[in-house]
Amino acid sequence: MPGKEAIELRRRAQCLRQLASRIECSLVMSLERHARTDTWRGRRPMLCVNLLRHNQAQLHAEVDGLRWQAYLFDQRAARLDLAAALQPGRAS
Amino acid sequence: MSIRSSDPAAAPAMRAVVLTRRNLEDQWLPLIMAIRASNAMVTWSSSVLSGLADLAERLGQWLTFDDSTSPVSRFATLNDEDLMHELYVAGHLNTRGDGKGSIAERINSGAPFWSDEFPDLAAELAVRVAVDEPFGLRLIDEIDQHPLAAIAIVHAEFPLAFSQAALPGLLEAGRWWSGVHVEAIENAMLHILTTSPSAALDLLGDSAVLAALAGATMLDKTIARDFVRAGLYDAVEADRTRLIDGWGVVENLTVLANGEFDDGFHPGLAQGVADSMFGYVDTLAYGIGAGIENGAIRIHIDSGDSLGVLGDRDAVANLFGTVLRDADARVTMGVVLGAYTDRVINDLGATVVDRTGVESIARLGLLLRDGLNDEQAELALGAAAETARRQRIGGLIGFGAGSWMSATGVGLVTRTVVNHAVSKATDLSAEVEPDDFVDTSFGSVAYRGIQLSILRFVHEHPADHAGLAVDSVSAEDWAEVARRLDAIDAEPDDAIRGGLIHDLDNLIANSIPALDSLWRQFAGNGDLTRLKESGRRP
Repeated sequence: MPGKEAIELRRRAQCLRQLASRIECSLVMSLERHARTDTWRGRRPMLCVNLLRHNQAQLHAEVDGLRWQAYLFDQRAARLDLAAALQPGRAS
Repeated sequence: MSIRSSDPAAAPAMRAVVLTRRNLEDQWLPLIMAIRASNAMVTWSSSVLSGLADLAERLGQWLTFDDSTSPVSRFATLNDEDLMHELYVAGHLNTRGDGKGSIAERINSGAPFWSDEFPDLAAELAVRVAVDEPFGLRLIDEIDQHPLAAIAIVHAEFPLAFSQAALPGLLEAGRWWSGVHVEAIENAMLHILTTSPSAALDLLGDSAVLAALAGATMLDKTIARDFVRAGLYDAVEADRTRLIDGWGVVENLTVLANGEFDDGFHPGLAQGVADSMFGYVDTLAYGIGAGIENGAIRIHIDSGDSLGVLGDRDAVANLFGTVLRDADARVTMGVVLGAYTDRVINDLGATVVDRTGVESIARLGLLLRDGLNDEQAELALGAAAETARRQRIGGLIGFGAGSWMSATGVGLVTRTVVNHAVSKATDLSAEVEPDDFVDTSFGSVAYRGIQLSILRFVHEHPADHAGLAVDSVSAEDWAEVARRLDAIDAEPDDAIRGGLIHDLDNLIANSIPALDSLWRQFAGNGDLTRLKESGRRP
């Protein structure tokens, strides 16, 4: 049976994955589709679009980071389960 | 759908989310609101709807539009000569004195040619510049005749090198009477500052470009400020080996301030220089005292290697005097001084009583004061410095403090803190008047600020009390001092704050001898006392 720490790590991993998905599904990640030159033109709009792209790139990188961290949490949880299973008296 | 998480592992992601939200609020929303508030479409409709026949004719033209006559193919099929001719005609015949506004306004308002054909012309120019080097070189060589090519920069994907090469020619042509020319310069600057701060620093290092910017009266203030800040601060923060280039720019500015620009720089240039001083001020203050040779100020970089002489003291004071002629730059420099005061005192720690380090604040204060020539400006500088000192933002001094000013919003927290401090200082500066009863002179305010910062530091670091010989001060006395310091910091009224400081002086002098002794260590000779006694101008 998994220990408390392993359960908590898996819960956190799940939360991080959910957060990553929510960020990916948010409107801001597709906003640039509504901001092409057929919508608006000019220096200021171009600056807005450039900033948006920069922010989207940051968010994509953070989403990757969240999923990687979730993977590490799951790995740690698995190691804890294994260690617990190998303890004398715990093996079935 | 809420995007929230309190998990520490999600903190970087949440910062990116907050940053994105902030950029949308700062950049997108104002623009969308401005478009919503615009009556351009209503105006267009009322003119077009002058008659149903007119409407039918226009709709008919639109419905019968034939893809085979696409303007893209029209420009793409032209040879270089004909394309340059199109560019010349568009730049000179369609824009000269017809009073229809900037190119950006024409494009946004749907003006014929500008809204439909110009983006395609821009795209074709960008393609040829990218693939045909001789064409690009020719365009740069003739850029003063074809400023429209630089306006095209923000309407297509031009290489950065084109903007870099075009800007000096546009600036040096000096055609500030031409709206198209100014717009071209602004577009090239925007492209460079948003793409490569390092390229902005390269251009600022060109003394002819710097002189042209200093006198560019028609140039948009915000673009000039962002450009200078990108080059002088962001580029050095990204690559510290470029500090030497940054100081080279400051050296050239010193020459300009003591020559043809004695009356002041372009406001955007002055503000950009003031913004960047967060990075440079510690080296400068050290240089004022550390490397005097025949009255010249020698600037050192972090490694201690000398870079050479920035200028003699009067020349450098005059540089800051020229920068401080701009009211916004003055407030920012005040904030820099206040932040520097906080930084030095916290860095010195228990060695604060040695006074040598603290005197660097006084030297900087005196240098700034000597550049000013009117009392109102001194008062505003002092008020801004005092406001910022109380914000305790010493962590922003130096490079690597978090790109507080970056357009992309990296270091959002620090940027917000600085903006808050500048905003508060600006409000106060507008109200500052000489006071008949409380000495609100720059020297007195700066000196008091140093004293209060030291007292605050000592109070918050009990481990240093023995080293500072104030361990005999009772807990009750410290509590009373802390209460009064909080009251002073919270008091917005200068006159009342002056009274509270006076009361604190009396309390320390009459009841807390150990603190009085610490207080008095700053009396005597030296720059600190000169700052205190500089007082009001006769």
